[in-house]
Amino acid sequence: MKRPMRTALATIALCALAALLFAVAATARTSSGGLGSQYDVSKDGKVTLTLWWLGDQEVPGIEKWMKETIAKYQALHPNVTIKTVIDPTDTWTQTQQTACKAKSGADLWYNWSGTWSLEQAWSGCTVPNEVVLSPADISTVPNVGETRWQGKTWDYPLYRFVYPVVYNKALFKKAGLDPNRPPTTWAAFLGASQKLKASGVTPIVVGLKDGFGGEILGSATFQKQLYSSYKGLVQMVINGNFTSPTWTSWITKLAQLKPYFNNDVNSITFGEGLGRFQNGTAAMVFGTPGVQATIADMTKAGKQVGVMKPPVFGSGSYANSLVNTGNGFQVTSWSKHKEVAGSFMAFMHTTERLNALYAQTGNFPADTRWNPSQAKSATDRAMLGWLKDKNVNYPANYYPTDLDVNGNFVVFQGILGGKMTVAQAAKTYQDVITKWRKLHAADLRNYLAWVSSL
Amino acid sequence: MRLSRGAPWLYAAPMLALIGAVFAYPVVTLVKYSLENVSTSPYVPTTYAGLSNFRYIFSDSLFRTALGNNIKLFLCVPILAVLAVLVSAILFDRPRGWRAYRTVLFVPYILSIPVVGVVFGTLFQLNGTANTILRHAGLGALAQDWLGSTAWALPTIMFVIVWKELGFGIILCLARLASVDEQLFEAAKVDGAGWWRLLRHVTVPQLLPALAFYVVVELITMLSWVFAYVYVMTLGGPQNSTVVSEYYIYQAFFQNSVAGVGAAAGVTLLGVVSLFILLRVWMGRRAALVAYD
Amino acid sequence: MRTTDSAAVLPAQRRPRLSTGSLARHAVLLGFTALALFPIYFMVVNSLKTDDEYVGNSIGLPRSPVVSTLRDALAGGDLYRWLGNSLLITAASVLISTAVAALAAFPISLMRWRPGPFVLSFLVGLMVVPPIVLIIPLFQMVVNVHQLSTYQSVIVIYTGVMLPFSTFLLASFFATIPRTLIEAARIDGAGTLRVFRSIVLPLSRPTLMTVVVVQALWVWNEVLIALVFLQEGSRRTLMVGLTVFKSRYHLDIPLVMAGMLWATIPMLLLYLVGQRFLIRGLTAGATKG
Repeated sequence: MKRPMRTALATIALCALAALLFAVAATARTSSGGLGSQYDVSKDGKVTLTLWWLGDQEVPGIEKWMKETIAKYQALHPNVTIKTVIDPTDTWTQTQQTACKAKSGADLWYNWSGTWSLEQAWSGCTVPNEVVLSPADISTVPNVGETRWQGKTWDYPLYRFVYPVVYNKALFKKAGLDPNRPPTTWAAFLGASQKLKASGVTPIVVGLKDGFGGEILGSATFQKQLYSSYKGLVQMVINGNFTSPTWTSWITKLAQLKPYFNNDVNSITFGEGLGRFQNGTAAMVFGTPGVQATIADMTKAGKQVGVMKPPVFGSGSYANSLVNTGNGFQVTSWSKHKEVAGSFMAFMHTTERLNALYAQTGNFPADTRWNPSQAKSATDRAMLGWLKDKNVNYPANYYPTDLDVNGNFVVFQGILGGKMTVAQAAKTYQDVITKWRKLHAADLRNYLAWVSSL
Repeated sequence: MRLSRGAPWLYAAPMLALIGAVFAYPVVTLVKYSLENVSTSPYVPTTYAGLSNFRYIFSDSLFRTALGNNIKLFLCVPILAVLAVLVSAILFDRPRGWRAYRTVLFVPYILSIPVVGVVFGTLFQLNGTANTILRHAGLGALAQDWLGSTAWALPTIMFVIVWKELGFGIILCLARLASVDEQLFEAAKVDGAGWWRLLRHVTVPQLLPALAFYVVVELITMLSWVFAYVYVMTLGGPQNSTVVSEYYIYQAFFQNSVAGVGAAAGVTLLGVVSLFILLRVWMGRRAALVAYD
Repeated sequence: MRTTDSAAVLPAQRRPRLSTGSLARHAVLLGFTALALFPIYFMVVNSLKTDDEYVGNSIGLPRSPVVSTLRDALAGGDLYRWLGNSLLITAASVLISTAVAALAAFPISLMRWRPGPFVLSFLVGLMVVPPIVLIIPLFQMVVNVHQLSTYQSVIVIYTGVMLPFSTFLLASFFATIPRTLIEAARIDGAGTLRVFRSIVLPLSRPTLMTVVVVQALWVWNEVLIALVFLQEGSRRTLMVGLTVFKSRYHLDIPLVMAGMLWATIPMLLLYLVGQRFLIRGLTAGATKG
């Protein structure tokens, strides 16, 4: 009895196994071999993908990396040709909208997180990651959360911009400060700035002529300190009061720093400001995307540089953190080869490519499959440690561009380079948001839907 | 010339078609948009907005600033007129090398605004060349944040506009003077008129038609052709202090995606300009009629 | 048309006397000349410097002149590509606009076409319509026909925007052509097209040159339309490219100046060669009493 029993059981087991195998194979086939990294590109025939992005304007050195990536991808998939188009940053949003209205142009394009990506999504111009990538591709990218809306994510970040305060150790030493223990509290920071000024250097440098320096500083150093979740910030956009004591509190702090900035903030561009830090005429610079390249250049030139989290004054749990934001790609809704575009996005996230990205640009890849132990420099290690502690995103990605261009740009030029008072600054934000709400009823509804997915 | 009635239309047809596409259709559409909430995507419908776009721009302090800045730019025009008369009167005396002077003084007019804007932008930084020169000359007190302060940014742009547009005025005045009867000047000189009297009583009156033309053209320039200066030199800043109507329209459409608002501002600008258009047509017709002789 | 080229009409040169008056005159003129040429001077001297030298010496002559900066500005080929785009667009739109304008000016001035004078006034009015108000609808229109970032879209727009000026100028000139010439040709049995081709056009050669030069200058230097309609990197014109160039190399002023200088040279050459035509075109219609 025993033997036939066992045989029968074995047979059943085998059959079950076979069935399971068939089932797996069948599911795999019905989901057309999977998406993203699992998508079988070969069956699409000859495909030309057009990719629009900002190239080296955003991340110096990335054009070369992209060229390599495309060459490797095309070698792997000879039926695919990828064309890249580099667009000017100034007119980027308009370029995307234009293409969307015409439903032509890019198959995939670069975008920043938050509203930048979501506004394209809300207009129906792009498809969510879930349509073009496998769940595994998405789950390893920590920054997809910045574009979560209606249960989906709408931008596939490639790398993370970080916004530390960078300081020149030699100048700290010269001013009698401990170059290895930068200030962490607001009071200590003001004290340090005072000492730096007394030592004859510009404590902090920034260029605001092209405006966006105001966005970077305001967002990554000041505004985030008010929050423990950006739900509150989006709610603020919907019906908040920007002249409230809470919002005003960070502007007060900014005004306290005015004496420690360079005296020509409005007459130089952001890049020129960074240049002054780089050549050692200023002691600190706030939150600069792509900061790692600056640090590397300076280290190479024999200048010792340290990083710190922005000094804490706020009571939000985000106050003590290093802000980061993931920038990446979206697939357009009119693309005829969405899955191929998804496959290419996934290819950019293969370990070898992520390693090359870090090696060539110094930016942190936005993927947990990238092993942070590759970071050798002390500054990178410190920043990666802070990122591991807390994933705090970039506040300007949670409100409309208008609040940025006619709010942040204007307020920073006014406070640091003009005679604007804190009250006038707060009123500037309030006026802008009032105007915006009046004009953008449809977007307001999108923000309402968004606030519930945060 | 005797010919079939259709022939003139046939010759003019390509021109009329292009004018229709590039001027007529856009203006009609612009007026239509100014009365609509124009959508930003193919998936959202456009709705009728009545006059709300116009109400909006006139309640918008930024638009008022923008129009105000255009009006402030009008200040360039008398400056241009005076300088053009002075320089052309001097050149008309034909000092040695006047042709070379004329050639050189016209050069700014042919340089492109991006080039001019970038060069002057560099010169006028707070720690730029202009202030360095002032400091070396012991005039450090006059150094300003030329393009970085709300008080000086617009005047600095005005300086650059005057710098660039002056050559045109000089050429116009010289051309006019050359067509004036030389005896007029000789007679005044025989009467013992000095340089200033000659200028006041002979040269300026003779220049009036050319000046009138120049003034109208420059007023129109200040209203509708200054976008590139602002775009290249200040991007409307600092604190939006150099935003002009063109820049406002550009921003409304391309940055804030509110085509209706941009169109309303455009219609308003067109309304203001049409006053000058009438003047220009009147002058143009006079010139044309003379030309027919 | 009695449009004046002052050089041709001015009477023989009078001997200048050397006096305080003439010294003052030269002083004023030299002042204006220095001011007018300073930006070019600034571009030239700095494009012969390295960035290191510029930091210590931004106005003076280069102490150790280099050509590497001028060469570096051309590296990567962007300036060449933009230059090519500008040349193509300028040439095409100027030629088309001049041809269309000449065809239209013919009936306006030389045929008994009743709407002629009205059309002419209308064109003069259009000459001052601000281009920005045309941009929004044109943009939508171009998008709807899927022609964004194409050469032809910009060429058509430039042609259209220039037509009021070119038609007006040619019509004014055609009106000065003696009717008797045309009548004679008609009696000989020439059709309108023959008259146009073998009488009107050959007589107008200088004016056609004027129209071409003035328009070329305008198209070459135009920013707004190029900025809006040619967004794709490889199609940019030189003027829009320069703004990109500037933000790319903002830290290296000599390199930026070298780029600016390269972009300026073609226009300076055109000006020096076509100065006579240019001035004639710009002063047309303004010098009548």
